[in-house]
Amino acid sequence: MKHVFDNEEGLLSDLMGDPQESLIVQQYIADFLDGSTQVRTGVREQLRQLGTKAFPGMMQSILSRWARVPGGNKLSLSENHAARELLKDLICGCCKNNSCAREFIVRSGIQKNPFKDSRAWLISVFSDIVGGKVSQKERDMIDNPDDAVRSTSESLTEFIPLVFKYDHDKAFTMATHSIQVCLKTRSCEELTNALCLLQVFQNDSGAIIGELITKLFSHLPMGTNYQRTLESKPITFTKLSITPAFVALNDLLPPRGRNKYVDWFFVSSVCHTINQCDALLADMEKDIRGRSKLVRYWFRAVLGHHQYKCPCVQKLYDSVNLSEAPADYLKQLFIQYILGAENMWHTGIDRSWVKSLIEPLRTSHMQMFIEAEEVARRIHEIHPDSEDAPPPIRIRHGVT
Amino acid sequence: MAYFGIDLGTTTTLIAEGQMDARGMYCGRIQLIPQSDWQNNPIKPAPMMLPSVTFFLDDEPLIGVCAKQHAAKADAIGYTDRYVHAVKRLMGRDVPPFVFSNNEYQPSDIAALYVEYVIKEVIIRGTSDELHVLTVTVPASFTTKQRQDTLRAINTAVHRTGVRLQVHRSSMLISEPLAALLSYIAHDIESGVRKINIDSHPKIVVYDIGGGTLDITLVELGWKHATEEKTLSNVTFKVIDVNRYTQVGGEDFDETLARWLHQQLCQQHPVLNDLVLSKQHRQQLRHKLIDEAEKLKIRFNDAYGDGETEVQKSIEVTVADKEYTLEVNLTEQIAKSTFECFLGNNDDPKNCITPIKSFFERTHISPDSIDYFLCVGGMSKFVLLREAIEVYLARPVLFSMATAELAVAQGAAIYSMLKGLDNEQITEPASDAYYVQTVNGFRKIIGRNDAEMCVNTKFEKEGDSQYVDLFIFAGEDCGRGNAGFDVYHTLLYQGGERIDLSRTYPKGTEVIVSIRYEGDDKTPYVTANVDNQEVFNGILGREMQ
Repeated sequence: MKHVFDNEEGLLSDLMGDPQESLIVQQYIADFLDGSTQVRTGVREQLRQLGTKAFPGMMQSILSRWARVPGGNKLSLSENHAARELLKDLICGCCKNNSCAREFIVRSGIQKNPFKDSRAWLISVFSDIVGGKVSQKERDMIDNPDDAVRSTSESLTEFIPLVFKYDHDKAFTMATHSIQVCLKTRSCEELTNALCLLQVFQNDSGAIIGELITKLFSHLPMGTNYQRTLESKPITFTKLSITPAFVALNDLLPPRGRNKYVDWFFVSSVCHTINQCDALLADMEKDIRGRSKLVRYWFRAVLGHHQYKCPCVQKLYDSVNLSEAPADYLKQLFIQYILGAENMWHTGIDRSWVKSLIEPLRTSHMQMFIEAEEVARRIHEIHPDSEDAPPPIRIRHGVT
Repeated sequence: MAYFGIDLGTTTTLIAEGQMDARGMYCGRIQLIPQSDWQNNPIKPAPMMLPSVTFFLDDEPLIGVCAKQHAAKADAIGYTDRYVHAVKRLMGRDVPPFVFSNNEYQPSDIAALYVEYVIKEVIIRGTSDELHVLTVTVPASFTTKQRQDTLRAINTAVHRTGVRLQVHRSSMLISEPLAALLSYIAHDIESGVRKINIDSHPKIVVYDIGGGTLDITLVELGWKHATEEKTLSNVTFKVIDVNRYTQVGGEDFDETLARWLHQQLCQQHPVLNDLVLSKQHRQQLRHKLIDEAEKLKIRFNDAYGDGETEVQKSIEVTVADKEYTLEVNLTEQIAKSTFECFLGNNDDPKNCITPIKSFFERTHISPDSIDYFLCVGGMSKFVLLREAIEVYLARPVLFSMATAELAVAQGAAIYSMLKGLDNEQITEPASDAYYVQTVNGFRKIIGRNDAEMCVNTKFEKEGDSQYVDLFIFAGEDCGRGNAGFDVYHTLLYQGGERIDLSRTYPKGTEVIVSIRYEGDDKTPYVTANVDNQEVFNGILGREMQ
């Protein structure tokens, strides 16, 4: 009985809503962007009281104020974190148990929003709201974006995380297409978008992540320096994705000069994974033993970037040191890398700590040390100024 | 030749025929609109107004009184979803279509039904003339999209009925306040009362509040030739300014009063407080309360106008199939407090006084420099509203009870005569300027007063492509160039327009886009030129499909 006048379907059918209300809300948001803490508190309260009535005005502000705004960056929503958080809070609060409000966000903010950046933000906000539950009506809208949307996003990359929530197959198909489109441009920005897609699928079981990795690296154009981009968007391996991902990366080697791409991405992803959950180290180590080509990057990955003291290295060290197994390729590589760390790596290293690792190994694996030190010495002679980690050297081929 | 004017209102549609009296004066005569009741019996005498409502009974859309009665009956059996009303508020908006019997109806399709009905029942049935001049009214503040939707509705109706119209370069549309003013001035001249002294070149604010929209227009009057006969044809109407779109009207008053009735019902029957209603029962109750609120509002207004300060009413209400009696005592005090949001000194978006203040601020015109303030439209009959306006202005307003809700249709018919007989055209400024979003912010593409002027804007292509995508926003006029920060909060997104250049041009190509209004329908025509060659010519403002 209390909700007799709560029907807001008409009000939230499109961006116009009640124009007066929209203009008032836009003025509130302008005040918030430019206002003191006290003003911001007042605006927050006003908008909270308006509830879903504020949606059309909020959306109008999002469309008009996302991009460059005269008067400075803080007046632009894309640059003002506090304002974005305010909008996100209001949207999330109102969308709980209100299908009209949710559909409004999907229709006006996603399906019909021709501005790519604000659309991507709204997709991420909506993805947080829905969890895994996207209604059929919402799906229909997400699956059928307006031509105005397509004209600004050929690959619809930003939609994929949301589509993934309700239709894995469709998301995978979109992602494979999207990766191709992204990589056509040879820009680091588009490569970042493609790598973000891998992140979307990183928790997925099965072969999807492997297929996407193959797709991405086999289409990645050569001749551009992608190091920073590839290292900045690592994926987190999971128990289920380790094998398909490692197989895919291993099979990509050696593809006419792309090793370094795989190297940068793999090393960064392994480090990232261990930082997230070092328990996965054992699973990865187990799997890497079967990847004869990829293993060469393994120790650089686990020894990490300036993180020699991380617990995983200690674990790795323990497993190598305590191993009763005969000398194998992995042990040889470990010794090479730990020697490299001692001899010529970055200046910030705690050499005494490295030494404390090396000395017991030197006793237990003397022959290997002699061979490894010899190789390292030769490399150092050839490249005396090199500060990079030494490349992996095959000491005994095929012992994997 | 016959001359007609249609007032396509939010709640009612009226039609008037332009006629010349014995003294050669123009006037608009309201035409009765034959309608039948829900049992298909003709209503006698035929009503002056066609309720702008539709009820879909099976496949057939019913219009007007018949639709309203069917909807009232349908309440009891739960078919409120088939009832469409206040479609004018949806014109030009990107709303999902109404779907009945697998047929989709856009708001303009529903509006076309009302125009079609009055054309058939009044123009075609009532006149033997083969050629007609027709004018349809729209709020002065309608955006270009809303105007285009209205034109679409008219064209659909004209096509369906086969009525032959004389096409004028000027316009098929006229703004409601201007039409009302035409009617008022025509009557003023015809009657010889001369409440408005045109000799003094007066500035008049027309305040037009109907069922769903509020318009404010500032017009300056004068004589074309001071020495010639003082007839309507000799009057100049210079429209100085119009307000932006304001969506408030009688429907909002009804809903607010209905909320009060709902509150009373819950107080008088506490058992109802915890009742959980189905969507169908909620709609049914809401519909009933709004209907009763409208009647109560009219009754209270009549009584208040006669000096009484309260009205009592007993209302039978069905809630979840059970009958309840609601005893209502609406006093002046309760009415004033209930309608405080519309009439009080506050910033409510539905406030009916605030737009007057904003209008004066926007136009930089002092209320003291205004010679007359004319109130028209159905809702201007509401005494409390007129009192509030008079308190704000600190002076009386011009108002005619007899023609308050008829003046718009009458004025439209008179405008048809002016167009047909005198080739007259009255130009009105648009209520908004239009902007497109660029990488550097918002660039104005056409200003509010650029009615006759062609505006050239140079764009540089961001990448290789065959298209230029313009994303259009309506807002306050910033003057020249790019919108400043002070304009941003006034911008309302209107949709996108894709200009097809026919072939791919490389990044950096300069495209000159020219936009002009043609006639007074405010339809923006756009042309695009590359290397001095025209590569596109079309109408701006259609959503990208």
